[in-house]
Amino acid sequence: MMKKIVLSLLVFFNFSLAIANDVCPMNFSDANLCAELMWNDGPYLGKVSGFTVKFWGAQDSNQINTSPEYSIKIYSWMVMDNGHSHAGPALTWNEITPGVFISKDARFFMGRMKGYWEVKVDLSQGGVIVSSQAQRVNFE
Amino acid sequence: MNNHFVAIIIFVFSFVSCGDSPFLNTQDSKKSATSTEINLNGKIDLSTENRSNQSQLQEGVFKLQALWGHGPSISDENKMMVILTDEGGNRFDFQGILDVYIWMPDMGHGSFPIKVTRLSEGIFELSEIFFTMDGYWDIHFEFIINDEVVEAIKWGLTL
Repeated sequence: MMKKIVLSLLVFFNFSLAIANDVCPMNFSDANLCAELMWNDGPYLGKVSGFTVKFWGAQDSNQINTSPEYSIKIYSWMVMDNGHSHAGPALTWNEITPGVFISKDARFFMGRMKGYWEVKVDLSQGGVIVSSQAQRVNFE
Repeated sequence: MNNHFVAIIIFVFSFVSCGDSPFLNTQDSKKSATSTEINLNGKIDLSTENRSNQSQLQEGVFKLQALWGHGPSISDENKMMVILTDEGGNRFDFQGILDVYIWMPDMGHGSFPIKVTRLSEGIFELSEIFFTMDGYWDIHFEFIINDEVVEAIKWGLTL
């Protein structure tokens, strides 16, 4: 009986976590914002890729786009298996409509590195990072 | 009279001190973009296996001059102009493929593929050069004819 309860709790917990991630894929909790990154082109290795990042209020179940009232920085980040990490080639972004940022020049490569890439988004105020999230890049 | 003279002197200095002086050489401000210049020597010595097309013979000693158009800097895109000249100082019109890549020997990895554009005889533009971290990098220049690297030279820099 006890095992069934524990198992049920585990399933419930994982299920809730999955739903939470779907509802708020990038949770900027300290900024009370959620965001989602979607690939428009790619992602590719050795070729320019493009993506969109959309923001909305954390409590907004309708996910209406909301422009973050913070300075935003979007960049690629390489996490290498040897413990070193570094930024990737600089990319640019534009807020095409409030809360929707698009980048058309993200560049990823492996160059014999072992590790993985992320796209990181920092929200800052007064030069201080308030909240930061990263999304791992999965190449097909 | 002296007061007038002093007033004129003050006026002249006040006028010319506003903004850039037309008498100063402004070349220095432009030099910084291309002040890092590298000069390398190479030699293409084709063996009989590569002589598949007589019109593509490119034997000879050449000089490679590379000038930074933007950079070198970390993370941002860097650009470089490459000019090939022969021993007589004339443009060395390499007809094969110039492949350029950067490599970080201490870390054992390279970077994003570099775009090489042939602008004219012996003149190439290199773009999308990204140094992703500080440290020592090698810039490799490979001269390829019929899918074979006939000459390879490199230049190292520390960022």
